[in-house]
Amino acid sequence: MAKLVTPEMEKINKRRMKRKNGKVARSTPMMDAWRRLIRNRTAVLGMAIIIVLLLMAVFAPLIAPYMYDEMDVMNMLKGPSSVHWFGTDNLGRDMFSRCVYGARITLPIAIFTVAVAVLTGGTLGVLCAYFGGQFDMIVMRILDVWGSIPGLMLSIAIVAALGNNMYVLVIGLSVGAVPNMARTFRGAIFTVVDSDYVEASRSIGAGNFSIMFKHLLPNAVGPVILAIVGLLGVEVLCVSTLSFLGVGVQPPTPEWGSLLSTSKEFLNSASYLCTFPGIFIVLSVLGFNLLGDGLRDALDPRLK
Amino acid sequence: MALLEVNHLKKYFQVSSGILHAVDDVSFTLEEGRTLGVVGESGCGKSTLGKTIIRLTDPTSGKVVFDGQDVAGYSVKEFHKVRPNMQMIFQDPFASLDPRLTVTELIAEPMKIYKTGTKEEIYKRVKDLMDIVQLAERFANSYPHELDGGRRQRIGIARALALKPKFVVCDEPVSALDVSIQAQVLNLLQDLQEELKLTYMFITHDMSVVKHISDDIIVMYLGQIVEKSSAKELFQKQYHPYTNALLSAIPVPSLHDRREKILIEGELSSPINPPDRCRFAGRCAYCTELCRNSKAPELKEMSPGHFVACHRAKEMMVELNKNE
Repeated sequence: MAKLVTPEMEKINKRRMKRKNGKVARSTPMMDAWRRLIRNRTAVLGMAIIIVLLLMAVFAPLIAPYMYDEMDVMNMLKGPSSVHWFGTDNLGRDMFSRCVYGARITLPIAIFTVAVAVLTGGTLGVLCAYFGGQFDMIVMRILDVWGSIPGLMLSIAIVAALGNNMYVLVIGLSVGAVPNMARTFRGAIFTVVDSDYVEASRSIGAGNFSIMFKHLLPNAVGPVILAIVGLLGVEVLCVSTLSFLGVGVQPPTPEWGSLLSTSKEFLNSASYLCTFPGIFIVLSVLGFNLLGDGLRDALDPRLK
Repeated sequence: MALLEVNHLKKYFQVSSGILHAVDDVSFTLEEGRTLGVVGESGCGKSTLGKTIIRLTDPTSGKVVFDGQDVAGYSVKEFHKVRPNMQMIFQDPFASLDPRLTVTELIAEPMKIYKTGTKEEIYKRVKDLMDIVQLAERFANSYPHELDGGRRQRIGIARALALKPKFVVCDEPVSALDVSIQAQVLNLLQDLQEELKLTYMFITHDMSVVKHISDDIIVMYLGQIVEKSSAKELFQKQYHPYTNALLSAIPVPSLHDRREKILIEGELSSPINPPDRCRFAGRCAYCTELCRNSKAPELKEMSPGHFVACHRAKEMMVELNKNE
């Protein structure tokens, strides 16, 4: 009798037989999540936007037709054309090049800010959830007070006090994000800290450190990843806001927010100057948010 | 010399409405190579007793003398050296294995923590252990969620055996499994005991399981031992009304030979701030004024090796065993 193998079955079998490091590829919770993620069109769109923007930042010198501070005095405040795709500003600088180079400023600041916030806030949150009791009480009350000050105000105050450079900006922005990160990590760890497997690994002699990082964090990764991706979008917005307000990145460095800020004077005569950096800000926030939504669905199949 | 000697062990928890007496003045000794069955209904402190002995929770007071050393007062660091000798098999094989680790990683974990050898040695031992607990090699790279309860519990057993312990606390190791698989796992545990000279403390609420596996039995009620005896004797003669009722609950696989079940009225009284009286008095069919008004009964030896904590133990000896 002929074997009945549908193309679908063949596909599944092929995937099952795929070998990786000599082991049969298996479905791990993470791999399942990945598969659900790439099936989600909006999430893939978000991911594509982020990847394009990141590539743009990395290869800015290759993509941008001009240097970001190169002035073309013959063409000042000219609208979009084949020579200057996004037009030129009041000093004759090519807007497209400035926007492309802007990705090199805005995105890294946002990413480093999130990294710092995750490291400090995350560590605090994990420690709070793991040790609980008095320590948790005291830290969380401090964070409550900390979190009740608007993040942007705190950032502006820090940048104003410590001077204006990228490192201070990163610290100032992350300070505003720490309380939220700590709460997210604490909440995520709380759901797994009482699991039997934690007690089981303690019974075989696992120390606090190894329990936290080997057992608790990997099992709480879902909500944590979500919060991190969401925070990336928020921080892009925060960097731009600070620069727009004039306390962040200073001109002539082409940060998207500061581009908006200098362009706003020509809003009536040359509205395209505001439009393009605005589009980039919107795109990057949109990208992170779409990716975040997709991740939430992918990591938590129960929500579907 | 006894391998394990527990003396006046107490574990109290501070809760909002008072002090919860989870384990209240429990003493027993356990000889090497024997199995001690610990029975009692849910919430009587049998799991807490096991966890306190292997220091998953710190005892409030009392001594745990293991292999000649009092480990109850040990610091975390000192206990870390003793821990390989005292291991635990957990009740729920679905919850007690980290879902993100493979079978190999799970079994190798204790050996990695104690650095028992090189990577190759550890993975070789993982293979041996899988063989010992009769877990087929093809599951080496599986995740626990891909396996059934019996196989998962075998992983739990392999993890407990990885460090070559002398003493293993089995905390209801079969109660989460199907009946057919229960027998397999119980037989495995018995074989392992013979081969590896293990000493078990076997916690369960299932009387037929405890009859099958134990040498000695302690019966617990609300954190205290109410009866303590060899298994053989206990199943013939019970001196405590609670034990008597527990044993009458074992199902009999016969249509004609029906025994009368003794149903205990009421619910477990609260373990929070219990008064110094017989804790079973409120539910006891043989309770008298004496039981209600005098202090808690102490464990008395009624016949050699058979201890009971009951005010009316002498009368119960006659009353509960008159059918024989």
